[in-house]
Amino acid sequence: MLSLLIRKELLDHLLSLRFAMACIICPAVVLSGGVVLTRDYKEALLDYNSNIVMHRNQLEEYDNPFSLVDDGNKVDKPLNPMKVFFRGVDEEHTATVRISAIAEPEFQSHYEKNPVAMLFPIMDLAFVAGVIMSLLAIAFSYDAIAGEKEMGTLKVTLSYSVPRDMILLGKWIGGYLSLIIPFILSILLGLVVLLLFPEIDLRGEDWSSLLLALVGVLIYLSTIYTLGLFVSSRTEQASTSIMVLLLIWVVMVLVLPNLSPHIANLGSPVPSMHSVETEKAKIQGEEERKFMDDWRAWIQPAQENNTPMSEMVAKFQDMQTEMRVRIATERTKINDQFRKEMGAQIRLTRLLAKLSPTSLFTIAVCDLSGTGVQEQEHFRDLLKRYSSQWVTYAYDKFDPAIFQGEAELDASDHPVFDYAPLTFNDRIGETFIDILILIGWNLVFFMGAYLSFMRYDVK
Amino acid sequence: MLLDLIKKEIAVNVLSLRFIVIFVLFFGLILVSTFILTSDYQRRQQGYQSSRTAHRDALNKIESLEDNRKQVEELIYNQGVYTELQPQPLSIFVRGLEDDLPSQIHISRNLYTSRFGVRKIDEDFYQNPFFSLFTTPDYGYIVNIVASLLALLFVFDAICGEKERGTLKIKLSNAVPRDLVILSKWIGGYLCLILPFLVSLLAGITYVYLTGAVRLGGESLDRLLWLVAISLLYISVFFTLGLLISTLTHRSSTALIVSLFVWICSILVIPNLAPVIGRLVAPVPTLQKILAEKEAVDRETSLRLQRISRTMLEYGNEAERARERIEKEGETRKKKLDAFFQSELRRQIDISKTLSRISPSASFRYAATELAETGTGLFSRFNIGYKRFQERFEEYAEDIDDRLDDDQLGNDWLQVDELPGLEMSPSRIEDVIDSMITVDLLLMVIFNVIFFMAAYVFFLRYDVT
Repeated sequence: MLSLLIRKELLDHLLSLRFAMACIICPAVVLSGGVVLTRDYKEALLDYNSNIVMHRNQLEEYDNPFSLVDDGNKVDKPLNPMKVFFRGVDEEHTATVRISAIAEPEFQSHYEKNPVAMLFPIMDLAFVAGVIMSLLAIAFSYDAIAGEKEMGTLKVTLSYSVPRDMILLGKWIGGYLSLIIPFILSILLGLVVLLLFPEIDLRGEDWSSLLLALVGVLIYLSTIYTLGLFVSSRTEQASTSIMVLLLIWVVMVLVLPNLSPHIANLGSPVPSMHSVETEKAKIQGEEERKFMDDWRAWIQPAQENNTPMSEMVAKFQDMQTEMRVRIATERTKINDQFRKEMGAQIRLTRLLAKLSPTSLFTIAVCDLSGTGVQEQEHFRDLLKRYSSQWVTYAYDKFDPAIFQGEAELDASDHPVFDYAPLTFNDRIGETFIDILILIGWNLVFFMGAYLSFMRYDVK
Repeated sequence: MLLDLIKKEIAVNVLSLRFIVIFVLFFGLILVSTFILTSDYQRRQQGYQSSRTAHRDALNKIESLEDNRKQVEELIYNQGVYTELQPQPLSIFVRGLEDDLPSQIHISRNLYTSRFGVRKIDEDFYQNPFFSLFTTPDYGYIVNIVASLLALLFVFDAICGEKERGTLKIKLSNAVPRDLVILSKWIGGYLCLILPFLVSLLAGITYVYLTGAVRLGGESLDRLLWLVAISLLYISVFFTLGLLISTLTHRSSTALIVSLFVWICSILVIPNLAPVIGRLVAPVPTLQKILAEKEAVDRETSLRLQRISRTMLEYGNEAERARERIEKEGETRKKKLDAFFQSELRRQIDISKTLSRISPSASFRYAATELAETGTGLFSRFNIGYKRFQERFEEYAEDIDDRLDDDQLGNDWLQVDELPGLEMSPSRIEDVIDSMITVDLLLMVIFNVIFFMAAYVFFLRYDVT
């Protein structure tokens, strides 16, 4: 019996206009989005590779240890192929960061790019599923019950000995299947296209997180679909049902996710960038000035006493290293304080985001694919560690022989920035809870639909 | 007659559920958005002011130093020059690209290598990273995405719904010309749609005015009024399109699905794809490639210079001239590369923009961001200003250094007000409106007319039974 009902639903949907629309929209957006993002990735990969060579050459050309201190080393963030699917919090695929002894890691940014694309959202899988597919899910389910009542077929069906729960279940399964079939087929097509690009090298971990993210997408779509079923079984007319659903959709998909960081920003404010930067600059300025005074006080008598070069360089080295380490410690203290406060804001944002299945889903898939907030923080942590390594290294290279022109700077033994992204287990983190919440929403909506349908007036 | 018809439309619409839904959505959204973005603007403005004062104080401190050499060292080699970007007042309504630009820029000279460099603040560190994951829900976003959807929803069953209910047949059995019916549907429906919109917008603007965050007067008021006008025109494009769809279909459920399809394509798909097609049609070498080429030029120049110094040492003056010539050649080639990159990029931007204008959504986005001074125009003006700022600082620093070496620096050489800074040519409202009227506004009017004409033609031959 159930299979018969599902068959009927499937046939109904397959012949409908909305299914035709879904069959056009799904492959169109998935493939075009895929091609765009893959192209971006390819370009970014080329840039990344040439950057690495360029930065290595720059380092090799240094002939003065001061260059190591001031200009430092430029490191590049390796690409994450998962960004092709879920763009995440960083818009750029790669980032160049200058690590020097005199400053914090500096993210190099340029503004000479085509700004048109920035005016519009990026069509990654999170956007396609979160916005476009959720709207289709509503279009598929808004008239499941109310529409059939209006057409009068519900009455006829129920005049046979068909239990109501079977009908509802049949509607759910049949409708959901016809919604996700075009989507899944387009995703598979997209993956086939992706395999044609050898540049996108997904590791085993990436595949498992991609698979898990796709499961998340399906659960998310089922949430929205079940919501549609629920509202449809609460309303008498399909037109009322769609109005209510679109109101919910606008709030849930377009409004709540975008508001959550802003509300968190108001609810848990952080100190402004300028105040923190001013504080750090003040400490740096004071330390540098103090060093200059101390150094001048030391170097004048030293020069008069004909102190050997090696001793002067060693003293300079010591004093500079000490000063830089002091600055770095103070800076870390200030940064950590700020990060603590920002951490509270981020936690509040995550909490608020859980109100809407869309934002919950978006954040969860980004975390899962390593394009989310965790990974960003992880990268910053690694940069900080590398930066402190660099300070020691740069001052170690102060060799009196170089200043006397007797030796050349050899920076081939410089520490290498070793970037290991978070592992799959680290990425999963909260994701399981998020998926559980989504499943919970599913159950709530389905129970609601079930209860409402049981007492639904079919006449 | 027309008046009666319009009255009937208004009465029907005002009493419907969708009117309430639209009122609630517009009112809630616009108020919440202005509330949040006003406080955000105030905070950014505060940050701008305090940072400006802090940098000013630092400059004054340098000015009060006694020794010229120390002053130069502090100003050019240590502190450098900072300039802040002032937040645009209308960014409360249309945020645009403002977040993609830095809030302050800096340039200084390195003491040991005497190269010019910029100190970059990791501004992302100070921002909730989720801001970049989600769009800012500003007024422009609400109109662009939500209002267009609501316009379609408001009107999708105007004709076919009445046919389904059978009222259209009855109406037309009276001596009512069809053109008046459709005109009254347009006027009545559109009025009911924009009334809640305008009321909510007025409430939002009043809130902004009351907080005193922005002084709305003169040019900014003009810009705001133009922004409202163009929003109304944009909403009407989608409203007329919905009417057209309604005259093309015979069942409201079909009309709804078609409307949603059209909405998805014109709001979510076309504007996203156009920049990509633009990049395919007019590829631009990446900045990295240009940098690499410039490096190659540098390397070649230095090789040629070395050769000269080896072979032509004995020629003295002539070698000097040859050196200068080679250096100049290198510079010209680098400048040419830059110019090539810029012109290619401009071409690509133009093509992307033109292509995306197939969708009125893109037209609206461009017009709205330009009016609020947060669009692509701001971006290019910033780029030009930034480059000029760097050049001027370099010239200034060289000059000061030379004068310091020649001991020609007077006592009061440092004039804080005359320091090079970021100067962006202001965007004049006349220019914005001129270019907007000729392209985006015109396009929207054309879309309106075409859709209405088509709706009219199809309604004249509509089968009402």
